[in-house]
Amino acid sequence: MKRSILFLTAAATFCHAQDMDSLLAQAAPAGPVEATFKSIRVVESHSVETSGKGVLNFVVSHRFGSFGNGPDGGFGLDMANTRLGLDYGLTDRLDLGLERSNNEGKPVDLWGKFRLLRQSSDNSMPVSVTWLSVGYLNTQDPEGVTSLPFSDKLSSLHQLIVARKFTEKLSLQVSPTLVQRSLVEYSDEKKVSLGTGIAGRYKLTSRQALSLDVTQMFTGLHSYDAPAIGLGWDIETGGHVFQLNLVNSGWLSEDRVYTRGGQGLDHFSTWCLGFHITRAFDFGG
Amino acid sequence: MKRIVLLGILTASLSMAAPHISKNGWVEFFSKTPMETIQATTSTAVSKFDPETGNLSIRMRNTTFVFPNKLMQEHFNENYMESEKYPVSSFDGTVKGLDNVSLEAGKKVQVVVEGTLDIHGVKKHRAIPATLWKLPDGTIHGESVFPVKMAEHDIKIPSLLTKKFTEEMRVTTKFDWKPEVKK
Repeated sequence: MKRSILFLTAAATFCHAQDMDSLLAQAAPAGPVEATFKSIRVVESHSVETSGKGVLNFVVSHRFGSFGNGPDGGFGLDMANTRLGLDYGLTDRLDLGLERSNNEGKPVDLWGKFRLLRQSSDNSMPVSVTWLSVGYLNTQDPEGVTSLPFSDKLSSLHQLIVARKFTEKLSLQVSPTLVQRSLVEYSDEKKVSLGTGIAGRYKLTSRQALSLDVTQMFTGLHSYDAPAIGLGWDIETGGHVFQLNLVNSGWLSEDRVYTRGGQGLDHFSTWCLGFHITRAFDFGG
Repeated sequence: MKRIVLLGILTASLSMAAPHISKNGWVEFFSKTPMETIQATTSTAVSKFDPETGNLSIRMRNTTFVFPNKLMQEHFNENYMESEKYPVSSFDGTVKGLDNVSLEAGKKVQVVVEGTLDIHGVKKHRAIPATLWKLPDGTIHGESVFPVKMAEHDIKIPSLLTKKFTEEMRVTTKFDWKPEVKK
């Protein structure tokens, strides 16, 4: 007796809850997944993220010298490669950036990032996909070289970044990569190299995360000793994101990071510390 | 036996009795300090209100709140509301004191809405004053302004940012309930 009444009451409550859910789904469908990564860069590589419409990012990046510089060289902290970058979200999908770094060649980079697909909260679209193209113009000729033709000062990078936020804490991305260089280091190297990047982020708290960024090239290089490896600790404070990095090469420009090689953990003395500081300015969007 | 079945049908039909529905409820929250003004609104809150029984339910998706800028919106969802873990804010309760008054067009009625407010996964029993009136076309309109203490819902604010927020958000809600049209 009582049981059947209980059951009916429960059933009515259940129906009501379902009603409210479908009502909400109708009026406010679950939107795209936000913040797969906290910043436009994971550690060395670009992340799937673009700055939203009307957001201007100012990014200061540093790569200190290697640990092998010893105590007299502050374990590398006495010297640094620096990159200053600006990027602006023209639309919610399109992000344009301009950077200059003082690593070898002092390149000026111009990049564009376009979101092709966005992962949706209801999983009808399981991944986010972003296309990245970067052009690098070396503003300083290699030592001993004069009057280098303009075309030899250029290199470029293209990535198709596929990412998924698996849980609110864990995000992963895979990026098939093409690097095109005008000048190569060794005679057995090709101007075009193919490879892939794998990167992930794990959130420790709502404002801190650990990230790992590994890129391995497969073709066109003289040797494939170690992939480009970067470890990151991201700290977010309102309008700033601080990313502390531990990396196995001192390069900043991705084309160099991926093709000029880093060393494995067995040569840890060649690794170095670095950081990105991102300041976002919102011009309404 | 027959009596039980009858009772069952009665219960079921009672719970379906003439609810009024709102699909574009407007909800705003507001905080102002000398350092920052925070104001966000959604206009896709949904609600069911049964003027016979007084039963009232409200649901809203946290990610639908629109802020003056993108960054605030992302911080709201990522750092404060944790919208991925707690996507929906809700209220379930009853409108008290409907027995003694009749809702007539243009006549404002002060009521108290009592029930459970669920924000950020933390449920609080609240009694919230509200105003109801009927519009000429039969729509029931309801408005309410009430404070929500962030600490009560376990929404943490880093000490660095306390100057940017008030401890209480002022929440304003407006709903237009229309009789449900059965298909």
